[in-house]
Amino acid sequence: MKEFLRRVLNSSAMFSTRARGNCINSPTEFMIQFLKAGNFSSESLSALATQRQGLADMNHYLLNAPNVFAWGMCGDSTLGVDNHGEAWLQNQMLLNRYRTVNNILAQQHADGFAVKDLLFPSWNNPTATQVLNRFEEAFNITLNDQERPIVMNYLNRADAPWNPSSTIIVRERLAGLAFIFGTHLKSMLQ
Amino acid sequence: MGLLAGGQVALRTLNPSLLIAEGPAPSSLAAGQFFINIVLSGGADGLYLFPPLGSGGNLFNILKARRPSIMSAMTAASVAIPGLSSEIGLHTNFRRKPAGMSSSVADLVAAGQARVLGRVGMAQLDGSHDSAMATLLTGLTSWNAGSSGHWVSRWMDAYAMQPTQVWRFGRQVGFPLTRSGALPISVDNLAQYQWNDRGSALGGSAEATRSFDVAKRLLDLQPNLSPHAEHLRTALEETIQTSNQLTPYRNQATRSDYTYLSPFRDAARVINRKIATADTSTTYVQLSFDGFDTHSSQAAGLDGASQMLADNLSVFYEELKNTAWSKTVVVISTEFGRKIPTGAESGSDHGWANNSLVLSGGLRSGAGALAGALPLASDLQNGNVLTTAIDQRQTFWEILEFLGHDPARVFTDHTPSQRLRLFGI
Repeated sequence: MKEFLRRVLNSSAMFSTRARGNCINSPTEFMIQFLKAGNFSSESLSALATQRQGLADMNHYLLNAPNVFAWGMCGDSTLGVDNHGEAWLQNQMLLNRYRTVNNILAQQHADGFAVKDLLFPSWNNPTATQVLNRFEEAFNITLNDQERPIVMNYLNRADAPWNPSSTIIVRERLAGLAFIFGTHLKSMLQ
Repeated sequence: MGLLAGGQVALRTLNPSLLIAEGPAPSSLAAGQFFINIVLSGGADGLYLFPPLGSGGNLFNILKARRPSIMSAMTAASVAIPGLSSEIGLHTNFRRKPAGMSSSVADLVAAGQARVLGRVGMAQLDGSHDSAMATLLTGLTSWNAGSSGHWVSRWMDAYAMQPTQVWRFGRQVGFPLTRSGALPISVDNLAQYQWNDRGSALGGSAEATRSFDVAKRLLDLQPNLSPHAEHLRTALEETIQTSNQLTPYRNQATRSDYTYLSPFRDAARVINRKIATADTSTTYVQLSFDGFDTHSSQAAGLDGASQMLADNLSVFYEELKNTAWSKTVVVISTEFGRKIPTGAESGSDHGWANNSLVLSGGLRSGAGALAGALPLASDLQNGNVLTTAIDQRQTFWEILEFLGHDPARVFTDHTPSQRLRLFGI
C-alpha cells in the first residue's frame, strides 16, 4: 500500500493541469450547475431554448466544435501555449455567462413564474440572510466569514437595501447572486 | 548580392519566376499605425482566390484540369486584373464594387494599393490544423507545447502595449492568447458588447458591474490562487474595465451607406476613434472568420467568402482613404493552402503554401501585383501541393517594420533571408 500510494501521489496525473480544481468550467457546466441550483424544470422549453442560445453565445456548440482542437480547453497545450481556459474567459464569453443567466431568469418571468418561486418553497418575504442561506444551499457553497459580508453588502447595500416586496430589486439581486455563486471559485474551478 | 551604392537594393533571380530583393531592412519605414490581420480559419484556398496565371498559364491550366468541379468555368480573362498585365489573378468577386464605392480590390491592386502574396507558407507544415495553427500563432519554427507563447503576446510584452492597442473581433475560439499581462480586448462585436441587452430591467450595466466586482473580490480573498484562478480574477477585472473603455469606440461612427460585417465595422470604429482623438498608438486588430476548411462544396463556400471579403475591403478602403489608409496595412492569413486535386465532394484537402493578399496605402509603388513568388507548375510537389517560397512570418516581419517596431523582438527565431519589400522607403 505504501508503494502504491507513493506511486499514485508522485504520478504525473497528480500534477496534471487537467486535474480537478484546476480548470475553468465550460459554459455547459456553468449552465447545468445554474439550472440545477435554480431547480429549473426540464419541461421549461423556453428556458432550454434560451440556454441553447446562451451556449452558442458562449462559444460552446456541443456537437459542433470550431476546429480540430475544439475550444482550447484548460490544460490544452497542443497549440503551443499553456491555455488557462482563455476560450471561456475572453471578455465577451465571460459577459455572456451573465447575460445568459439574466435571460433565463427573464424568460422564466415571462412564462409566468419567477426564479424566486423555484428557489424558495414559499416566498414569505425572506430576509437578506435567508436569501443568502438559500443560495448557499442551492449552489452547495458555504461562504466563509470574509466572503459573507461582501456578498451580503451586495445583496443588502446601503443605497438600495434588500426589499423582498420590490419586483425589480428581487429580480436584479437574485440574478446577480446567481452570477456571483456561479462564478465563485468553487464553481468555476473543477 | 547586397546593397548597391546609394542604398539601392540589388535584385537577383532566385528562380525563373521569383524575383526577390535581399538586403537589410530600410531604416525609416515607421509610417504605419494600424495592422489589420484577417485570419481565415481552416486553410483558405489561395490558389482559388488568387489564381496564378503563370508563364503561359501552365499552372492555371493544371488547376483547371485537376479541379474541374471548382475551377473549370474560370478563365484567364475572368481572373486577370483589369488594366494590369500580370501573371497573378484575382477571383472575379474581387472586381465587385459596392454602390457608392470608388474602388474594388482589383482596382486597388492595379493602383499599387494591394498585392498578392505568392507561395507564402509556414516554417513547418504537416497538413495538421493543430500544428499549422500553432506555428501561425506562436510565430516560431519550433514551438514547445506548454511554453511557447503567441507572437502577439511577445509583441505586447516587448512594447508594453495596452489592451486598447490589441483588439480581436469575431469568435476567437481557435486563437487562445495567454500572457501574464493584460489580455487584448476580445469581443464578438462592439455593438452587442454590453452588460445586459435588456437594459435597466435587471439593473443594466450597473448591476452587472456590481456582480463582477463581488465575484472578483471573493477571488481577491484567496491567499494562493492557482494560475487558472488568477486568470479568472484577471479576466473579471479586465472585463469590468473593458466595459468602460469600449463605450467611446462602440459609439464611434462609420460609413452609414454600407452595412459592414461586424468585425470590419469594428476595425473601422477603432481606427476612426483613434484618428478622431489624435491617438497615435500602434494598433493591431485581428478579424477572425471561420469556415474555410473546404473539404466539400468549396466553390460555393469560397464564392461567398470572396464576395464578403471583396465588399468589406472595398468599403474599408473607402472609409479610410482620406484619413488613415496610408498608415494602415491589411493582410489575410490562414493556416495553409489546399491541395491541387479536388475530391468527390468538390472540395480539397490540406495543402502547404498559399497565395494571399496584402493591402495598404503605404505599399511600395510600381512593384506590380505580386509580392513573393509566382507559383508555377514546377513548384508543385508530386503535382499535389504547392511548395513554400516565402515564410509566412516575413509578411508580419515587414509589417512590424512599417509600424516602426523591431520584428526581431517578436519573431525571435526568424531570419529574413528573402525580403518582400512590401512598403515604400
